Amino acid sequence: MSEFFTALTQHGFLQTAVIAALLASIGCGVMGTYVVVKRIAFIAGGIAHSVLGGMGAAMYYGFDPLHGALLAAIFAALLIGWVRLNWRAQEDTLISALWAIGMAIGVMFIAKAPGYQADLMSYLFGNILLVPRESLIFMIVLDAVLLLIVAAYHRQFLAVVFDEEFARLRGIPVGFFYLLLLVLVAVTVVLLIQVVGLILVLALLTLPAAVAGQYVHSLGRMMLIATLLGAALSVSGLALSYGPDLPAGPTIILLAGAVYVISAIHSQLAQRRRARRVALSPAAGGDEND
Amino acid sequence: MSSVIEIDGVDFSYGEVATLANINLRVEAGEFLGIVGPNAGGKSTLLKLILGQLTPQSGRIRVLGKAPRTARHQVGYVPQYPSFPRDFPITVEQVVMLGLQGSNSSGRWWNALLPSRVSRKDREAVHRALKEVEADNLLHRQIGSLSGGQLQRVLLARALVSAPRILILDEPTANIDQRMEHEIFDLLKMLNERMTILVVSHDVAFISDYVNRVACLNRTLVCHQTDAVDGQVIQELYGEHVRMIAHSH
Repeated sequence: MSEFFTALTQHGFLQTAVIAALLASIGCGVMGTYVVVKRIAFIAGGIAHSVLGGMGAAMYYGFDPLHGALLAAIFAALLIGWVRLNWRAQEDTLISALWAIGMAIGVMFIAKAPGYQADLMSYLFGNILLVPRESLIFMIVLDAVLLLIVAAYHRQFLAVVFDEEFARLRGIPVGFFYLLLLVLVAVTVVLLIQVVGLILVLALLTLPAAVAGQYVHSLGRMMLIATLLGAALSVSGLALSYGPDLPAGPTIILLAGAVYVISAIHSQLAQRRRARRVALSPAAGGDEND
Repeated sequence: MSSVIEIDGVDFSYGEVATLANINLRVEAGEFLGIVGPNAGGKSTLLKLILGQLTPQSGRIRVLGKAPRTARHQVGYVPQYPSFPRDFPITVEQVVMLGLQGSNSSGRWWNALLPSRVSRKDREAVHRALKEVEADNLLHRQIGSLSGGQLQRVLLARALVSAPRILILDEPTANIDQRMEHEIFDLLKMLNERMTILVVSHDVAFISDYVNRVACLNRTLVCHQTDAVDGQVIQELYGEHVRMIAHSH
């Protein structure tokens, strides 16, 4: 660990990696909270994996793969959102199909891309140490767009995420805000791909928010805790991976997974203890039944 | 009295089986109408048509003289089952606040896309609505910590907070005990002094103590008046012989 912090003061690429991890944590905390409470992790997974199609196409035609990823993620979000809103009975089959087709297109394009063959593994599992400094500006812009939209429409998002049927009755354009929410999830996926790659995105999108949800009971607090936790996990994962030269993305995810499992067990035990205390307390009666 | 809901010759079908056939019904301002009938008789479908969630294949529905979707800002709705997860991290105050959304838009579609903020007036309206349903002590509670009766009061407050002219409830007491059922209906009776109420129920004997009129629905409207609900009508409504039991409250 200390080796990492010494190197951090010396190497610009490590400083860039830490800033990228912190920028990605903002999207991960804010949008991860919506993904967890709305239970749309499968949809977010579909968006993340179909992004490879856009990255491959961008490489093939000589554009920045990250720009291709952003376009593909937004296209996939709108398509999957449309399927979910209009074709609910077939939702899981169609999302699975888009998931696989997007990846297949990406692998095809990457295989046939002229010139230097990019390392497919770094797209799939991320390589935070290779994030170019220019990408930080792109990430700052994405974070700013995301925060501005969430700040402006948090009431409408809450209505749609909490109770779609009632929101529709109140005249809220549920379809519009649902698709906007998925587009923001797509933006977050692109932010996180740089850190952990598109296969592992789902874990960083959901685990910090899920842990936060076990301890706090409002969306705002969940977002804050999940952002801080995401930042702590990404930087710690990066630091842990540095000494033994492990891949940073999988190290971050394993750390997040371990924190989630420990937290879930702790939260279950605490809940049982509370229930036991209430059941055994002499004041326990039927007053809750009012 | 003027009609606040007009349903003329409405037919509706989800698939090949007709759910509602040739429904004609007028609901007058200030009425407390009970809609009864067997399961799958079309009660909830009729409510969805009035709320503009479904469109009839034929016939015409007017709510407050307008198309149902246009009038829905003036209609409060309490569902039979909450369509949200009970473990959602949200307080009672926030849930009731959601009932205010959309009520300020002046009918132009882009108003619904404008960012909105919670004002002091909104908070006061939420407190008033919760006080009216005697649930103001629950303001800061998490929705998942409420009992069935408390949740029902909160959902009623969410429907009332936008000061609707019509209140529609789909089996509001299906998941609560008998004592609470009386309390909720006493509350509705009081609210009926200032708004029209439509309530779906499976218990014709119970609601007849509260409503001014009963509409019996089993694909078609079988009856319209409380005093006409006799053994013959009940048998026609439920499609089989029904044993009549003396019932008093």
